Amino acid sequence: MAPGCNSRRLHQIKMKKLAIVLFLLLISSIWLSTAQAETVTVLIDGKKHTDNFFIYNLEGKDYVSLADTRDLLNLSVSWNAVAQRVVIESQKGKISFLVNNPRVVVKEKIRYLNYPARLFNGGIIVPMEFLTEIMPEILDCRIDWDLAGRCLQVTSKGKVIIGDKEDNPAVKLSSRDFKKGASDKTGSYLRKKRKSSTSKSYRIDLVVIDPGHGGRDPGAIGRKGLKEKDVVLDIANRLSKKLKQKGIKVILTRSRDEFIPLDERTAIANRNRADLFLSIHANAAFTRRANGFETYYVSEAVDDHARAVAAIENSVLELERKGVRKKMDDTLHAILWDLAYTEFRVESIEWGEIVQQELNRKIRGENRGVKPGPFYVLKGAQMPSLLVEVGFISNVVEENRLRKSSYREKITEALADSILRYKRLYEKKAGFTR
Amino acid sequence: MARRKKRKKARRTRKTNVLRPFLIILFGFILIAGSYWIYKRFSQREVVSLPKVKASREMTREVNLYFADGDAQKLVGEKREILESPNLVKEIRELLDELIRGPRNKNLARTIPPQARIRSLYLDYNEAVAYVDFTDNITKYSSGGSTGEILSIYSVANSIIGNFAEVKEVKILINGEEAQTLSGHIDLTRAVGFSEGIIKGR
Repeated sequence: MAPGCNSRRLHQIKMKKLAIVLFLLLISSIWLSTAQAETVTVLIDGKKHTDNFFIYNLEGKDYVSLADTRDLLNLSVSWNAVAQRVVIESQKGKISFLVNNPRVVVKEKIRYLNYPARLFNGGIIVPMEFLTEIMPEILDCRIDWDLAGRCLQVTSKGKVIIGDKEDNPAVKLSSRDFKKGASDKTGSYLRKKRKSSTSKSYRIDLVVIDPGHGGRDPGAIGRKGLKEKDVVLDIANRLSKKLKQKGIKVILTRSRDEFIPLDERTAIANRNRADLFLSIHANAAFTRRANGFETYYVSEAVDDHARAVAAIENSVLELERKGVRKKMDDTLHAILWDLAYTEFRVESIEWGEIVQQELNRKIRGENRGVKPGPFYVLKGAQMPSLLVEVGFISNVVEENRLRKSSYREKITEALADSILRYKRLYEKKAGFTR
Repeated sequence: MARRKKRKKARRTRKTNVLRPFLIILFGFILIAGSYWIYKRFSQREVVSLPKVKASREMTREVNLYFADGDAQKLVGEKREILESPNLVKEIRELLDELIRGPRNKNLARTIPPQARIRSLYLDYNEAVAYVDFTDNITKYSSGGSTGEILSIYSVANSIIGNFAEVKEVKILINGEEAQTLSGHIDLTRAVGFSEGIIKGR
């Protein structure tokens, strides 16, 4: 072959390689941004469903698009962009949940998902467990996900309400026949398991108590050297003992003098699906005169809720205008954070008022009230949460009182009573709506 | 035989050529990311340090500084005079120095430890955010309580935003970095706006 021809071939190969590399890069970038979408077979009462149904694999978990699910099962889904709340309705009941929050309210009962619903490519996706465990609650059918066979089966119970709209029960359902109900072992097992582990009624059983600071972080230090971390640890330990006697489960974020990062504290409460989160602190200010006790709940800022609402409205407008992608993510992030701040606001304030009342009844000092604040320690807690400042360690009189075991005992009693009182109130309310 | 040789040769050239496009793309990416980073960095720091402007006539302007009331419940305004300057950053800096100095009114209390120092200060005019970068003295000498922390943060935010229309939000940094909190309570990862409710009598 002539040398010229050879170099041309080389050039061709080069170009080809470049094209392949670019193509691969493109593919990989698309793959990175969209994760894996896979089409799966859907069997409705044994019949193959014709529409394409996608399963998204994110971080090893299977998700389905809520819109696809709605179309498949003929459901009514409403979506409130401001509150980020999704409501799914059928004749049998209602499911509502927030995006990025594992709490799901199914027919007025609270359930928890292992993985929350998420926003993905401009739509909402729900984990597979939502489809198989939660959805059937408001449907006349069961949904099974065959992980190995990558096949989704929707099986009607008695009446057919989905797929072919004719009323023909008992289509060949092979081994997974469900129509007579009682004979299905896996079905009843699943339901039992659900009742005991994931199902949670409106009850307060588990409280996470967080003694502030600790280890290398002493917190506030009094004029005579009393350290906040020691005072609050002692109160927390006393409180834990007292609540356990009353049959309430307690988890302490620390039970000795050690450093715990702020994020970890609420994470402990979220991981254990606690019903209440209480962070105990002692206060300080440059004014030595300042004294008394106060309780904080988490909010966007120290006061202006109006401003927060305005900010959300603005960001929703911006979302509609569809600005730059980055900007959109930022706004979404802001909205989601605001949700984290506001979801349990009412419950937290109610509980906070009770805490202040009980403290006011049992200890001396000024009642400084229940206040909002952008507390890092309470951020993202998925339950009613409070930070209580039991007294000013920077005030000499209160420092002396906080040093005394009897005074700490009084504070402990007040906090324990507030939790028990709130528990009664909350469960009574829940019983009423049930 | 000859053919096999040629194939071998082609394979060898292929090997070296496979890497090249990768390198080109990588280099291009670094170039773009680098220039973007430089752009971001320098577009934010509008004015960091300018030579001191000596005013021929000393013009002053009145500002309202926010200090804590005696019970550490609310913030109260106190009037001060600061030197007027064409440089906004310089004016804000002077205002903050006055804030650190503390109140003149005996019934009011300081909100920031006297040891606090400002490392740098910069303005993002587009987003109307003032970045106040303190040394870690502000943490080391803080009161250590939630109340003290709220008063510190909002006295800085209200004093700046209340006196400079160009600023809508204040973000506090410590030692040049974003901090979670000042002393373990209040979220500093998001910029703070003006708070009406914390001012006494409003």
